[in-house]
Amino acid sequence: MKVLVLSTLVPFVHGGAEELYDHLVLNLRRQGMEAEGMRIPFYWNPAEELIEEMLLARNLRVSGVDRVIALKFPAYMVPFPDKVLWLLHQYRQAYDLLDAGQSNIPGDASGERILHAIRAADAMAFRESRQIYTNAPITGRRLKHYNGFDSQVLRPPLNDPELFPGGESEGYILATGRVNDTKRQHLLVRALRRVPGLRLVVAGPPDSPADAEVLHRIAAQEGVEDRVTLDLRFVPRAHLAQLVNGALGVAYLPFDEDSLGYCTMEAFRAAKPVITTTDSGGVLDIVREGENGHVVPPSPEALAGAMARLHAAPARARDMGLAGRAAMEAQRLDWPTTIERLVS
Amino acid sequence: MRIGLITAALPLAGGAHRLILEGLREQLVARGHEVEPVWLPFDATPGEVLPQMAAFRMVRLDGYFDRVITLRAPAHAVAHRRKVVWFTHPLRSIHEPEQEHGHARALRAAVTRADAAALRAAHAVLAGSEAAREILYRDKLPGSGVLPPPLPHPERLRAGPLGDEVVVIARMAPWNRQHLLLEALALTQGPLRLRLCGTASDPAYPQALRDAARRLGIADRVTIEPRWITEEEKANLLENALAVATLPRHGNGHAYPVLEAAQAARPILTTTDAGEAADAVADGETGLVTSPDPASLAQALDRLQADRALAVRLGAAARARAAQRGTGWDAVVERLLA
Repeated sequence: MKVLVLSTLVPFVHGGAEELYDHLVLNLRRQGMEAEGMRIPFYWNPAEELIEEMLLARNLRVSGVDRVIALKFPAYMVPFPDKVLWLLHQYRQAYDLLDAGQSNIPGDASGERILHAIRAADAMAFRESRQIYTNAPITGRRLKHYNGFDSQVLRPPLNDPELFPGGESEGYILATGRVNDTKRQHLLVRALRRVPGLRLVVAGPPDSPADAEVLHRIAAQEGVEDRVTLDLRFVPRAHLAQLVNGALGVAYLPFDEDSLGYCTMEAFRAAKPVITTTDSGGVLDIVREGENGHVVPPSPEALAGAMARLHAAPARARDMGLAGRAAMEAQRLDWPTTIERLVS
Repeated sequence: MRIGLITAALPLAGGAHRLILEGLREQLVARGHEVEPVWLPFDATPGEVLPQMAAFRMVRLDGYFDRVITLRAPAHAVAHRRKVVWFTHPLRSIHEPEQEHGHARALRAAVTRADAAALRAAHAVLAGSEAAREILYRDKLPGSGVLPPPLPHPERLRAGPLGDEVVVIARMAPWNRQHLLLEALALTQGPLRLRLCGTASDPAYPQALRDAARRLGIADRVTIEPRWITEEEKANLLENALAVATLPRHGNGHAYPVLEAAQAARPILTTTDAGEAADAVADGETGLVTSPDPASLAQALDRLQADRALAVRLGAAARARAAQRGTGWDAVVERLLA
């Protein structure tokens, strides 16, 4: 079977969605498919231009393949008779983020038109798809609630589980993943002053130079520069895995994420407890307070408390990490099964 | 500098533009630039071309890149304030239709107008070959010079002893005229063999080639591999070939097959109407350039197999000339970023 994976491209940004895209293509090939990925540049401001972005996708043509697997808005609107959606992203600012007052779509008549266009075009794309999978239950619930379409959850597996066997704790808390405002690494830096003697490592690519500067500035203000390591770049996988395997625990605090998050999955695979926050969304599908990590409010004080508990009781931290690994294994995620469903 | 490399591609089909893009990306990254390749899916069916060009025009790149370089047509339709079009050839499906009816002519005129608008809006338009420059001139399109793409990794090609096989590595398609070589081979005797490889756009063509080989009674002297050949396989095939043949009708916008053959010190067999391949080969010095007919090609094949010394001399001269005349990546990058 010949498969084209379609997604959107935000140049020079590389995070979980990009990892998933790369590994989907790679694993299709491993399962004997001829596969290629193409990503269409996407720019969403100002909101008026969203209509053009959808028109663009709608006017592209795909030939020479048997199946398209599409991942994101508006790439999933590219017409193709045998199209399967693995929905990572709708345009949330037209749906739940609009309801939450976090949208770039204006609240006037022009905004109404944009919303109408997005919802109509979404409905068309969903209707013409053979099957819709979502990356997390919340994505599927939103799809049902706002668009009235049914879907099946297909969680993305970890890409390189063999890199995360775990290991002895070297006593630091690790924060991985893209560095930006909504992943809130800054809360951890602020929390550190309240936990004397604990080290913090932040390792991941900043979305912008400003995101990196903020962390450096806060570390200086808080006077914790000697206890925090800011490795702000796209960290090579082997090195990243080494950091995870040697951590006391992993902190991952995205605001309202949909999926479990690779950071969570890697930590649990390596049997490390995860610190997250009560508003982290899909991460809470697997992290349980006191069982395999800590779930606390998104404040420096509460996070300091969680970090202090791991710091004070490393044996307890290790047990929670093992519980996390068991929870991850219970999910039974692996690429061969995932690919089988996507091409069936 | 943040640079976008934009190309239009049929999914899963190889092509020199992919090699050029990857080669250029490596070179730009090595010089400290941030580079993002953009592969736009493209279907060359004539009736579908204009809407897709309109879609390409809508891709918003200004906010992401300081410069974009476009490769395969119609990627040049994208808009950017600093767009450099590295033009290799216009769309074959539009410019070489099988039948010459009014609709095809009207479509060609419309696409040429769209090309002109896209090229006029460019910061620079560089032709990938002399033949491409002539097309720009013929269609009254803007152009500011010729810049042939160098090979991405010439060091990977090796020169071994000459064997008995004439190799063609090219898209398996009527315009590359693999069938002419079959007909020529049937007119020759001796141990000479022919290997045709490359992705087929339409499975009917390799089937027609197989049928022809059987009909001509040369099936045992011909290998037909309708699939993408990796760079490693290519190096192995060239290493011991007797010669490399390339006969695209009106050329294909670049002279990669000639450069590759030269790097592996193989003589090149081409035809007078093969665009940049014909331009790049000096008849009787670096290869043989014949009329595009079976009898002439057969004569050239016979010369190569009968006169090994000639074949060795042509191959060595081809390599020497490529080393002497080739544009290096430094100069190419400088022009593309000027």
